Amino acid sequence: MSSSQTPDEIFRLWRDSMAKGAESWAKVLGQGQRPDVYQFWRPFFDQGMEAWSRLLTQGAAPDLLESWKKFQDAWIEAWSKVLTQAMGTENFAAALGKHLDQHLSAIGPARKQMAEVGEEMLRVLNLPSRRQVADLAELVVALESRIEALEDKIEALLHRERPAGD
Amino acid sequence: MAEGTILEEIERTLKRLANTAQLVAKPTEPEVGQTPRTLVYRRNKSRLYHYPVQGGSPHPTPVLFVPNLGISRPYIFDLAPGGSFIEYMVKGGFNFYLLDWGVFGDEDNALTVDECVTEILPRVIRRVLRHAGAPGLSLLGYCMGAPLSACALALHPREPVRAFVNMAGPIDFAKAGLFTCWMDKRVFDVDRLINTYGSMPAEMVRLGFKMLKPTTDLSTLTNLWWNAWNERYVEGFKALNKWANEFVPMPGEFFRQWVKDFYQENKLIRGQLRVRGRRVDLAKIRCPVLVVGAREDNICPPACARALIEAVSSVEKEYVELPGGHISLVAGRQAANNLWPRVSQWLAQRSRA
Repeated sequence: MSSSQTPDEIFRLWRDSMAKGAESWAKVLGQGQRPDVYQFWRPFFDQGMEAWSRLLTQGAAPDLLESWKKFQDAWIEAWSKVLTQAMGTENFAAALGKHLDQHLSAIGPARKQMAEVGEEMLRVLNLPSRRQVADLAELVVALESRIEALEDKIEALLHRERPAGD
Repeated sequence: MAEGTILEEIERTLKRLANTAQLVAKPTEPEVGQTPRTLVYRRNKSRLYHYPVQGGSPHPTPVLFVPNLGISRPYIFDLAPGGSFIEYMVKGGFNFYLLDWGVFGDEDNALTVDECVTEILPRVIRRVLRHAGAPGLSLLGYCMGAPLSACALALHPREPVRAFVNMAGPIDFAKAGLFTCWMDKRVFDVDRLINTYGSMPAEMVRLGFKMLKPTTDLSTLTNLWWNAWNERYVEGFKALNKWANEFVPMPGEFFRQWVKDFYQENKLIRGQLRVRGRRVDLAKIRCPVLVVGAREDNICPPACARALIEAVSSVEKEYVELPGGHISLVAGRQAANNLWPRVSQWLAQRSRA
């Protein structure tokens, strides 16, 4: 990159190289290849280091840092678009669903067993279980609702009995 | 390059280092939700708060604000003085009521969409009218709060709702972007999830929302670094970051119904949704309607919210699309310049004794 380039030109170069990079990444993700994390971060650090080194050694243009910020935002946005595109496919959704199924297959029996053991321990200690406390809370909620329903009915009756204009 | 600029930048970088070090080493809890309010009504976890008028010429019609149920806490609408939607509204002369659905626990897993629409919302509307001593109110729904409010309105068209605003609330779920794709019934078994966990756990809610835009945390952190020299920015960041990382669970039966009827079958816009045996017909909504879509919204893309305009029978209806995403539409500097004055003016014009 020549030092005579203006920040806007540098920014345009960054943007173009990013667009190309993002495009090739989208292809890679589409083909189900394993992404290279190093490549993902590299432009970010390379451009940052270059901006700082120019700022400290050559006396860069005052808006160079501003251009670097713009580059960062555009770079993140470009990757965001790539990822959104990749995650919006049926393949990705199917993989996500499969992952959730596997997770539930693993966690379901373990949770059930832990709940049973926990309940047994609480029973031995003569303490209420989580389920029992939740049941009690549900009962309170139901009672609260019934009281409210009664309040509404009383209010409606009072309105009916009250003479017009009162 | 001027020597001053380099020195200035070095000074800023030192401030950045100091402020970020303090954020990590000595994190302080930001104060949120500071606009004065009183509790008007509570039902189980739900709370109805009243924010009295603080200025301007008072509008006769009170505003009931219904945000999303579960997922996140509603203090995003009252983040900090000078950066609060609620404060803006009360200073603009509105008697403002907020329905905070609360943080649900295991005992709430039986809560359904039906209960919210046919019991909680109509009761909350009556409480607002009684408390405000007003003959009617304006209903403001955000995100999930908008379709829930629309259902309540469609089922109870005689409720004295003077105007309805849908702020980034999904209506046509076929257009709800990545969530529609991920929760397709061919790949997402909601029954199995709820039968295993009992609810939609907060951690899974977090994962789902973070996956929608995986670069969000990265851009938040880079923006923090760039602005960390500015103490005011850091304070704002702390409040927003607290909210952005506080996810809350969704009651199991509610989430099951929400996914099946709304996302997977798209019954609301198709006119096939049945609540307590009654069909929800959006065409029964006749009051003035304003729909606000956010241009970069990936939770409720503009077309997803805009569908309400075609579905209602209102003579007076308007759609506006504003810049921003699902959150920046309602909170932050952009919201203060765009959404808040827009909604406030629209409601003020329809407020009457």
